[in-house]
Amino acid sequence: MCHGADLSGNFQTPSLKGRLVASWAGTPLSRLTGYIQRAMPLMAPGTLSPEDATTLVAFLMRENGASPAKTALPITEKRQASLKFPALTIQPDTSPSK
Amino acid sequence: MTNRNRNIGRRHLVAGASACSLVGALAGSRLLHAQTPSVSPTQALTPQKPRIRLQPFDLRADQITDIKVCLRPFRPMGPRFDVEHVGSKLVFHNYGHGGSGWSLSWGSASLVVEKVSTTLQRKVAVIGCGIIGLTTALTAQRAGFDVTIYTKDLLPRTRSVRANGSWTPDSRVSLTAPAGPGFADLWEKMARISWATYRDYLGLPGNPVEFIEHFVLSDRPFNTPHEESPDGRTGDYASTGMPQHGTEFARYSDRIKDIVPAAEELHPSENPFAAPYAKRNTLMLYNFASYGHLLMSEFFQAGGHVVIREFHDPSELTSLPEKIIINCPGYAARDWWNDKSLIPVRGQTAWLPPRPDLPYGLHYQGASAVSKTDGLMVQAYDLNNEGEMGSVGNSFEHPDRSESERAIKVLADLFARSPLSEG
Ligand SMILES: Cc1cc2nc3c(=O)[nH]c(=O)nc-3n(C[C@H](O)[C@H](O)[C@H](O)COP(=O)(O)OP(=O)(O)OC[C@H]3O[C@@H](n4cnc5c(N)ncnc54)[C@H](O)[C@@H]3O)c2cc1C
Repeated sequence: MCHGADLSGNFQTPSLKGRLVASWAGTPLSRLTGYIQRAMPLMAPGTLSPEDATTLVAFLMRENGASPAKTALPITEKRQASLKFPALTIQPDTSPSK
Repeated sequence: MTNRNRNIGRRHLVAGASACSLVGALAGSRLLHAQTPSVSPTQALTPQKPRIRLQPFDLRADQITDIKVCLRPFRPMGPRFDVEHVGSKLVFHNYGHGGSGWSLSWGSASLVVEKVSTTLQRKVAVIGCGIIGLTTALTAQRAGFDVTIYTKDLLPRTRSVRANGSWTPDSRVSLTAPAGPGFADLWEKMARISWATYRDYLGLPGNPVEFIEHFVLSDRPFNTPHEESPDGRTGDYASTGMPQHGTEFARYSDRIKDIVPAAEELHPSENPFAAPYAKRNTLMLYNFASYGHLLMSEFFQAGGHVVIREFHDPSELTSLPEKIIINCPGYAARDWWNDKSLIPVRGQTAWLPPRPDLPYGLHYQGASAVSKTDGLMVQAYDLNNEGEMGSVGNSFEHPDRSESERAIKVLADLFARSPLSEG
């Protein structure tokens, strides 16, 4: 997987955590889904279905700390256009092992 | 390393040190004997010259410090320069420079800024801070504009610094037919402006831009036509929408022969390499670290601003305060502007520790090594003899270490066979 198993990327490949939130917060989800469908994966752009791209968007939100919603993300562009990528805040680390 | 030190280092490769000329002549004759090159009539007429002295590069795969991969933003019709309205904004495009972005940057910037000047606005936004965005921003400042760069990343993290970075102004920049004669004229203008602008960066501390000695080596005479390995491709760009043959790619260099130093063919007696045919030229290089820092400092000193921001859709430009926008996203225009005319052309460079004391470069059998201030760069530019078609359409932007190791081996083997490594 290009962005690394922990999604942190490397010097050349962007991280899908952290800066991803800064770049996409407040942007309609339809735009992120559209971008993933158009541009990714880089070596075979345009091969992902809307369902796959939507699953990736849900995954990215979860990995970046969004709390799970009760219902699955809608697939249609129109319905996604009214949902925004959330601005997520880092919570203080409360684990005893820190 | 100062310029002075580099100049002393450069003496190592000056031809004709007397103490070595005997060894050189002997080794040279051995070379002649071993390779039996056919001596061209001009070589037969020119007097023997002492062998060029050169210290070999230490090329080993266990010296690799970095492997960089990049996609050349290639458009068959040449870079995009048209103007578009997005809401109340006017967007001037400046992207798609293929394998020639570093070389053409200043000329391209100059053409766009000339057009932008007719708007009579004073503020301009530049999208992107690769070599095209940054030189466009500087050119706009020099024309009196107040410039803000909006970009996802600054130069050191862009595709631009994953290039080779030498003067290659017509390297996969267009296809002759779709680009047409109009682009050839435009190309010449850009190349001349860039070349002249680069003079202003020569001889500076840290060598942001410099000329080095460069050898092109071949197992066959230079006048034999290049034959690509047959690949079963048929048709051409017009019939398939993709280039199918190397001959479709435009070559414009002859138009600027009057200003670019010509290559000279080496007499076998002076050729220090175990390749029977050798040419020497001087090559202009861009040293990414020092040149990049210099350009960024110039931009800030002239009052430029940077906003780190990623755009996802052209409509987002309407939120910018500037009315005039110059769009320089390189290959990313495929995603962010949905420009499907961009064809990726993959390229990879491996970086070994710098050897500023050995400022030269060479090309042989599709592998090249060039000594830059930020590293000894090795590129497998055409190991499979595919010519211009190599990596066209390939968007795999991840390192392939075996490719770099092959290129290192080709050149290490050459050095091991070459008389320059003896005595
Ligand atoms: C292996 C290789 C070797 C090469 N060798 C040479 C050479 O020797 N000589 C030569 O002249 N050329 C060479 N090239 C070509 C040259 O590197 C390119 O033409 C040039 O880098 C293109 O520059 P750019 O500024 O247009 O694009 P980039 O460097 O890709 O810059 C694009 C900028 O836009 C920003 N951006 C992109 N998308 C967005 C977005 N959505 N929102 C905000 N910002 C965005 C990026 O962060 C970046 O700052 C080579 C290329 C390769 C791959």
